[in-house]
Amino acid sequence: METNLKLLTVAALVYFSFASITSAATIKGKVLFEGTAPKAKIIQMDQDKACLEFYKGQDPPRFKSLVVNENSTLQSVFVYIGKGVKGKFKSKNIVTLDQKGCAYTPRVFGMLAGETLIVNNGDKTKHNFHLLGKNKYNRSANPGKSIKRKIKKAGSLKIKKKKGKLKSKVMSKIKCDVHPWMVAYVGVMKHPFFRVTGGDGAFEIDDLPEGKYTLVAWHEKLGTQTQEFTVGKSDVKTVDFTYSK
Amino acid sequence: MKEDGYSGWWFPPNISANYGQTLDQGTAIITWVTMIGGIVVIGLMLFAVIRYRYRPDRKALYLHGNFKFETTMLVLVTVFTLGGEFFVLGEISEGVWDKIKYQAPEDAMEIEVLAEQFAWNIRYPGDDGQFGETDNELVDEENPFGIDEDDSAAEDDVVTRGLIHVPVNVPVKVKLRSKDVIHSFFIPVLRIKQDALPGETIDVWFQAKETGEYHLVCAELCGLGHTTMKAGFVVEPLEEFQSWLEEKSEE
Repeated sequence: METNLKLLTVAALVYFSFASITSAATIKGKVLFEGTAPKAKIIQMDQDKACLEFYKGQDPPRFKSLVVNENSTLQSVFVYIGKGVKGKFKSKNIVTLDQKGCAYTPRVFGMLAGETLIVNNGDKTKHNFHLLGKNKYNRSANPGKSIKRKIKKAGSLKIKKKKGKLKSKVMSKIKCDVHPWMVAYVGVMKHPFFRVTGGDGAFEIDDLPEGKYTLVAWHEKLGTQTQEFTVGKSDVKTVDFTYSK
Repeated sequence: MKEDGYSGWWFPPNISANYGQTLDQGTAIITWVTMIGGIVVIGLMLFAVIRYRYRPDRKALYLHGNFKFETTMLVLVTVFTLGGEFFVLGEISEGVWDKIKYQAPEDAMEIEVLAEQFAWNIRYPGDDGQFGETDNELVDEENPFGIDEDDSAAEDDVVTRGLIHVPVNVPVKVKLRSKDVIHSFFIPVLRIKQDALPGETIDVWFQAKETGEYHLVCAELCGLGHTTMKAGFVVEPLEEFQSWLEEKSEE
């Protein structure tokens, strides 16, 4: 009897995990860029010797607010499901943000509300971690020290700039007041269906239940774009975004 | 005391070609006057403490006031203090103030300095000598002044952060602004200190007579990063300054 129960449990587990994989849809695509991006300006770090020293013997650091990949795609675009996700999601993951070379890595990232953010200071100078938006927080850290903070609230106060061009319902700005060129953006989400484009400009969101969704792409300089799509069970759909300048 | 100025060994170097020496002179006068006054007062006090100290056979005396003596002293002290102050303010200070505030040479090189928490942003007008239009909506971490790049005058504007270069022996006029709170533009070697107020543009001018690398610091507590709010201040020959500016404008 006992063995039967065990077997039954295992069978059920296998069935459900299998079912959940096969019944989940995937949405993938690329964020394309048309036109020529202006050459990024050099960041002038003269006010802090520790920052200057980090780049000694290297090319001077440049702003990374608009990075176009070799295959004409965009980097650091936050792609997420805006509408249509049902259910509640919880996670105890830890998300790390590094401060090195007086810059944030990653520059754009996402996390689930309730997750913990750890901000490391790998520089030989003091930084302050200033998070704006709903989860307002400001604290400084000496070299080698870290800041640990649970980010509780999803969403953001609106980032509104350049005559209403740049709006976001999820992105919050992070800045360092000691080094005003340091900026990062975090998308605090209610669900895990988000990705940030990297060196290939591609994204792939999987494990999506069937339904009708809005897909949102957000770029810090070029603004927000949305597209609607519907997926059935185990569909794989491709949606591309195109930004131009 | 040096011959060309009044900076003592306890002062930072003074490279001001105009009013810096006079300001040091003022500091020296105040130091000497208060020092002599201090020595006299403390000396008398020490003398009284020692000379009239407790002795078993000594009795304290109670004296009634001397109206005539006290009134005379009061009037004398008032006349001396007020007279001295009016003399200093009217005869010495006003001239210096006038020089600092209102006598910037017409041909001075103009630069713009924008203070923010916690950095100094500097803008040079470029070859055309004109600052381009700015728009607050364009302000971000890459464009601290919010320069409108569509404006033709803005094309050759040079913006630096945390670094000022100026030519030696050339008067420089600074248009000082603040983005957020009150900061203070302080270059110790030039004896310049001027508050930067949000919403106001304040003119400051100076002329440096010695080359070298110095500092611009913030002298008004402006927040958490106040102590880190400094910029390099480099005085160099005119040709070197021009080539530096050219290099920066190409970036």
